[in-house]
Amino acid sequence: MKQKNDDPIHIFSRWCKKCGICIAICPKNVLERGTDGYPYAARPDDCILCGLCDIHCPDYAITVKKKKDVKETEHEGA
Amino acid sequence: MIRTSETMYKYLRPDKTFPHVWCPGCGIGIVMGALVRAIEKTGFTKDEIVLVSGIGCSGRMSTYLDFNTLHTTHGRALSFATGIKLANPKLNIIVVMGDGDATAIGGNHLIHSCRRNIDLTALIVNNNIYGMTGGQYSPTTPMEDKASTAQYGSIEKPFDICKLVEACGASFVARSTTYHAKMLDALLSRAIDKKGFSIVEAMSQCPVQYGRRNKKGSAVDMMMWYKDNAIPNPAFKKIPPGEVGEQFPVGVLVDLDEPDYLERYSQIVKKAGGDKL
Amino acid sequence: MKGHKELLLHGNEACAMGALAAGMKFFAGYPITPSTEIAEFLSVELPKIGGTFIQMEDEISSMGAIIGASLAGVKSMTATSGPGFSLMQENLGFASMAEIPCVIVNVMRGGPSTGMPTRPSQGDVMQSRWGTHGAHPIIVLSPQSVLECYTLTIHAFNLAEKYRSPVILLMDGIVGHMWENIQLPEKIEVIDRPEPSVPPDWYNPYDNLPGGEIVPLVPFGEGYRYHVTGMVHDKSGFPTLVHEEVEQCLDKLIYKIKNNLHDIIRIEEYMLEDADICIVAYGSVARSAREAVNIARNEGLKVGLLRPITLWPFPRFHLENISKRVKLFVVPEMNYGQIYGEVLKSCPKKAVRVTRVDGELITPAQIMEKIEEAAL
Repeated sequence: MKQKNDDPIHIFSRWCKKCGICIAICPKNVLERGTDGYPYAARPDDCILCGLCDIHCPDYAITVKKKKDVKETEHEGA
Repeated sequence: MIRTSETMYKYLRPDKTFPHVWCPGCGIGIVMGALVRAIEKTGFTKDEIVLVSGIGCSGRMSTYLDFNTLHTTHGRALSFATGIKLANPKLNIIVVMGDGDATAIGGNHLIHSCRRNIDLTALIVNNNIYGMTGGQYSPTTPMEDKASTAQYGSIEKPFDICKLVEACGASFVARSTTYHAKMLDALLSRAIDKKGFSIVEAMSQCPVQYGRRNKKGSAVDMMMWYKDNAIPNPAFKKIPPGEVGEQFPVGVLVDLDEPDYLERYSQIVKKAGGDKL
Repeated sequence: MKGHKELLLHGNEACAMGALAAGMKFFAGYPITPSTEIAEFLSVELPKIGGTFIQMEDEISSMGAIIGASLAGVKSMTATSGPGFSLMQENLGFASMAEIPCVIVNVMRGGPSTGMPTRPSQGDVMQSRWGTHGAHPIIVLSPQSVLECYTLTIHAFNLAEKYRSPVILLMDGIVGHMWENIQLPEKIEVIDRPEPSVPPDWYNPYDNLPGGEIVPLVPFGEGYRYHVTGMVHDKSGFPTLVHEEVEQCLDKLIYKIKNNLHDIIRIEEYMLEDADICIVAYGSVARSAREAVNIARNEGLKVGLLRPITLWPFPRFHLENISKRVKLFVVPEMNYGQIYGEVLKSCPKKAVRVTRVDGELITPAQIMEKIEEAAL
């Protein structure tokens, strides 16, 4: 799945083993399994940047932006 | 909250092969992430940390992390660590072991490390099975569960690792699971800071060798089982004994302030007159 | 411990004092007859100098602990006997593979199994060479007197540091428990661990340096973060299965000893120049052998003694040279002929053995019997 640069979640598919833990652990149901088996942020706007997917990924394949990073970007953009 | 992704790259050895060796959905990666976040929290430099590991799936952790690392023989990690600590007390030593590693072949070293209250941090990754060798039953495989060497179901009573080490005199005993990864790093950083022998048991899913044989579902299902059955210790204590089913306590289970081995040994040095040097 | 004072010591005590003189600051062990006096002595002396004594839960962990201490930069030692030595084989192999300097004292007693705890033996010669699995290098020294228990312990530490290898001091129950008046040498060479010659980023703990130079082992915690494993490893210490690297790793282990035989091997010759018969003996048996040489010479028989002080690597070339001059080797041992087998390898058809396994000393008379038999 194509990732957009401004997505709060970045998935590094080279290290991802498609276990699906991130999809299950997300409290806001942001992630979904793509047709290739890799997770992707289907509803990035719902992401609350809690980072649970990040700390539960056994393969260190997900990066979630920090809340302050997002705010700063928005501020700069405005 | 410290994110794994932002800290991990600081501690991973860049020249090692990634993705790592562990199977898809294996909890050891989550545990290693928690360990790295815990070390980051304690503020120790990489040079001040020695990571000692045994043999097995969890033993591979020492290969990936950029500390002084020692990959020992099966079950013996604690004895090597004892030598390092006593020879250079300034070093902070973390010993990573699996359930078979720590409680079967290394069981003797484990109970005596507790008894001596030697200032080490032991992280026992408990996945209820010998994973690396292909799914044989371990001292923590639940009764009647299947393994490649227990095809008719295990007939041996499993260890409760935390109860075992508590009885042997460990200063700090805690348990968490891969579902409770945030709690795991908090417990680990407390354990590292704690003087004396501290143990953190990390319940970790092995979906390939243990889960598959015992119809426990996917890695996610196994983590959800942890979510449902892990009860914070204060709440667990309130459950009447007869009503405890598969539930188990998590959090800090023991936290004692007792002199550690080195403190006691310094008294010996004093008695022998060695302090006058 | 004064330099030149005369002292009445037993072998185990002298060994422990030698270790202290070599700068040993860490001892881990488990009680076992007939080596226990070493641990007892060090439990008193080590705290006095700020060193560490610890009684571990078994010999497996004793071996583990001394490897750990050595990795932290401290000279370390353990002492045991037969059954304990069997338990140490696992981590002894680790020390060989990971190239960790340390000293293991084995005061041999009668075996197999529990055997005869209070009776001497020389039954562990082959175990000290081949006890742990896989092809590995090892250095084994055999003292014959209380003084040598002292000097060879120091030598053992020197070789361990120099060649980054475990070194075994193979005593027997007689040497360990024998009392002698000895004069400690005033000055004795002590080799300490060399400093690394490169900064951390350039450091490869298992590098193959030209000329077989051995990379210094930097203690943990000094900024040189590296990996130590019992697995076959590359020059940086990480596991490898690349066949060139595997070969390099294992070859290096063997050749660091093999290429330095002249430095490692020590022997003693007694009346060998014109000898027709050469006795090959080590440890306490060498004392009886020496007496047998004296008796034989009195009887007009040309008998001499070769005493390997270094048992492993075995002084094969010395033996081959001597075999050109002598007609017969007589090999007395408190076992069924372990070094005898090595002598046969060097010079087949020219050796006979004198064996004794009942826990009693081999007497000069027993050796003489064999010599007279052969001389007829």
